[in-house]
Amino acid sequence: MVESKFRKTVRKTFFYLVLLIVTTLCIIPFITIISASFSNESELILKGYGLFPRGFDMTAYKMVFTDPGQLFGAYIVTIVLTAVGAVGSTLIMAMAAYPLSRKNYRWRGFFNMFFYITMLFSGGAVASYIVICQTLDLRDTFWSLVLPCLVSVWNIFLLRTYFQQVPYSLIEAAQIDGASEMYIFFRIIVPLSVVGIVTIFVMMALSFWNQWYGSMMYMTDDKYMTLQYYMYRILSNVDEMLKNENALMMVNGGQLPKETSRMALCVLAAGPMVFVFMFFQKYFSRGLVMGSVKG
Amino acid sequence: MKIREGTAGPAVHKLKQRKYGLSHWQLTAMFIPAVVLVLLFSYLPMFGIIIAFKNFRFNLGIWGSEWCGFENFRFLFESDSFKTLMRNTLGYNITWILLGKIAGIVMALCMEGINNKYCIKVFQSGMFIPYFLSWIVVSYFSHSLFAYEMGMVNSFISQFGVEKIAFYTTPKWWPLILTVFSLWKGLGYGTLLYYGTMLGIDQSLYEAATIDGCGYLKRVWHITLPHLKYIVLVTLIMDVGGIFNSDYGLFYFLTKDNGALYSVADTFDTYVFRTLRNATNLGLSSAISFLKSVVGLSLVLITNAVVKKFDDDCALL
Repeated sequence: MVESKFRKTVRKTFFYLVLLIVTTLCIIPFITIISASFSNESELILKGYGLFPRGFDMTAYKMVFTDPGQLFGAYIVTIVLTAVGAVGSTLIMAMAAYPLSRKNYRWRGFFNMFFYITMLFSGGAVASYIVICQTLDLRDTFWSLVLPCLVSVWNIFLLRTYFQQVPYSLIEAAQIDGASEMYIFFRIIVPLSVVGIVTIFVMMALSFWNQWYGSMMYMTDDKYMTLQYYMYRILSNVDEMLKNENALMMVNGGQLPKETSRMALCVLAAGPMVFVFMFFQKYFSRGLVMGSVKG
Repeated sequence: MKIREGTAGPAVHKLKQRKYGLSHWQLTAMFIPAVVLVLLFSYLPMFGIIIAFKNFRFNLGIWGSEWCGFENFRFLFESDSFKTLMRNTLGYNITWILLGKIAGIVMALCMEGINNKYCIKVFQSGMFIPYFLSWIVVSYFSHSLFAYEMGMVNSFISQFGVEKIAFYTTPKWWPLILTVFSLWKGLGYGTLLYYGTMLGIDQSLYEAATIDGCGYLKRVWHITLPHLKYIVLVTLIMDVGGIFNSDYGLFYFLTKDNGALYSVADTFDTYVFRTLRNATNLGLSSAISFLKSVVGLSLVLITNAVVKKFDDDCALL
């Protein structure tokens, strides 16, 4: 029984249709937010959210940019956090993953277990909170946002898998030429595992960019407010953004662009990064698949 | 220079090892930063788990607080919220683990079926967008969908004369909404994982099966799915270990921490998170943390043992 061409075509069309619908569903909310941010406030309130802007209007963006102080501050905190966090964590995790990938390293089993245990058992949120805030006294410092999130054991094991794919003979050859382990790591292992390292780098950058937990829990003031936490505060209380009097005067008379400026803020906060990550997607989709190969 | 007979061998060997062999101390030195961080932020809190047996006060610290035996656990099991928390956490997690895997595999099959590189790239990128967004951004989306006056759902159904639904105060819709959003966010990642694995399958198997007269469904059932077994089981073990965890961003932000929705949207993690924020009921929270860790650990070990029995290759430990 050979499949008829007709059935094949039907099947393919069906697949295309499913994928098209699902992909559309994944993108629609984004379009809605962008449209809403360009909408006219009174029309938006009248007609509600939709796929297309309700009357093209830039007031919301003007509004956000009259007093961009907080947004700007949050942006800087988040960018610095992401840069420091992603670079630091990738370096630290890669350096830990390399010895684990070496089959003839003496304490490999011990350190494997050392890291693995933390994946199985944790002290829980309350204990972590107490350790970070009381024992280590990191409350209200920038480091409380960075340090607890630097090491992700899962990613160490992914990196270990990538490094194991580098042929051992290369390492041996370098050793015979008298290379130190550091030299081997930076000059041989890292260049040959670029895809894997970029993958982990992007994943870590993503998790630091989307950080809100730290700003919410470990901060008593707004000095180190991340972008995500700022957005959360705006959504739960839009008046916070509108408390500035200059901003109120600028939109005198007309309706305060509460909803639209909220959405404009969302676009400004989330938009740029989505494009950056989309750019990296090529690398890390390859890396993720590679890492899931048995190791 | 005198060379004593009999020692030359080992000496040469030692020299060789120092010069060419691997250097254990250099490798160990590379661990230091990661090990210090893990000790501080993973191992240190493990000792903090004893606060489950203490009447914890912030000003007294972990060691200064009084012991109170199983008092916290007694309170926890007697409280009304425990049952709800248990039901919500387990119910959502089990449903989402299953649906997530099925959805991912189905989408991966669709991608494999269309066999058009350009289209696959477009679909994959589109499906990955939600993965990049934090739950806070997603909560803006859900706000635009479910807001009472302006939400898209309400303006849509009111066109047909259906009465508007106050989503943010009606619990009955939220199990569905939360499930949809959870699947929506994880779909891109799951699909990628399964699709990537499918690409590694030897194509000649399919050709042979087709020649032997297998239809599409039979090929999927007998070739594709068995090849996915490893990745499905390994992720399953991990998922089961985290069955008492929940993505509190999802529950907390999407429902806007709305008290009216706690009955369907409160899980162990959101409960702990809330008590931490308000610094109330820390005793209960620490008891929950303790249970979560201990039960989670035993579940991983049990699942692993079961999987090991079933197929040795797929076990994690």
